Amino acid sequence: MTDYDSMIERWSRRLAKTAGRRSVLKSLGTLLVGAAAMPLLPVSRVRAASVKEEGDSTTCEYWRYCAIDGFLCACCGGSVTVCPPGTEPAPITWVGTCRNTADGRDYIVSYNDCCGKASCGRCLCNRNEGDGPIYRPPIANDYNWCVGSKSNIPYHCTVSRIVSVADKAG
Amino acid sequence: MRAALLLPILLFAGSALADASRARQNYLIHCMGCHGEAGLGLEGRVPSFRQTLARISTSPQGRDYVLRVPGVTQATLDDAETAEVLNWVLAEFSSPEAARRVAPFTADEVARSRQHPLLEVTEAREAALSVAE
Repeated sequence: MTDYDSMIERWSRRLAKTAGRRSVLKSLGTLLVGAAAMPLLPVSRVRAASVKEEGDSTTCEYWRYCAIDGFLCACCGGSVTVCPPGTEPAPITWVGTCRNTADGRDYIVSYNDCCGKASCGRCLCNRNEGDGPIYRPPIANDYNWCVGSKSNIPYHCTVSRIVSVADKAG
Repeated sequence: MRAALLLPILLFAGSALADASRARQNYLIHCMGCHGEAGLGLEGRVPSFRQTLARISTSPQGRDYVLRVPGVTQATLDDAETAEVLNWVLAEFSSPEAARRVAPFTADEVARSRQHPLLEVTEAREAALSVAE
């Protein structure tokens, strides 16, 4: 412990001799402002408009559909992110992580069931990457999440909304 | 010499940012589906993190309840990741005053409680609320 104390003391004294208070404050200020600005950078809070994409959103092979189980709203009068007229998105969703073939990055995708009309019946897509057994609800996508919507049970189709970039730390 | 001073600070700040980023990502993947991106839940069905989580988490009974709900006991996160997400949720969705009154969740605490999933979640929640500050 004494050695450790001596080392810290030597380091502190050397720093005090060579680093001015103003320069230290300036550096700290720069660091704090930089750290505060970092969460605002468009790194993780990605918006769909900024994501480079390729492929046909009316086919099951489209990259966003890697963990989907349902009818594609892009084939049902809506779009990849917008529910068709007469339906509304369920607030409870299934979440997956898909790799975008256009930029090679992984994204967190929220699959929202659109509710309020009978099943669309077009473009059934059942890829299920990462899907788990139904007795483990948090990792299972076989549920009809329209049970949580105001429109209740009638399920029509599913949209795929990008929520965030998924980096490797997660 | 300035580099000698800044390096440990930068490493610490970088580590804290990485932790927050990882916690947010885990929240989005494991919690957002039910509780929503803004932590608002679904009235009458899924509790909002903004309304009561910090208040419940001030009592031992409340903390035990939080760590035994289905979303925690069934999450595919390890104990440390679960504690990290819970602490991120507390900081992100509570007022600063409310968050300051809550001791951070620890991996050991998560490990002890999550082994005993709640069977009567609604009743346990009401009991936890009744003893909350």
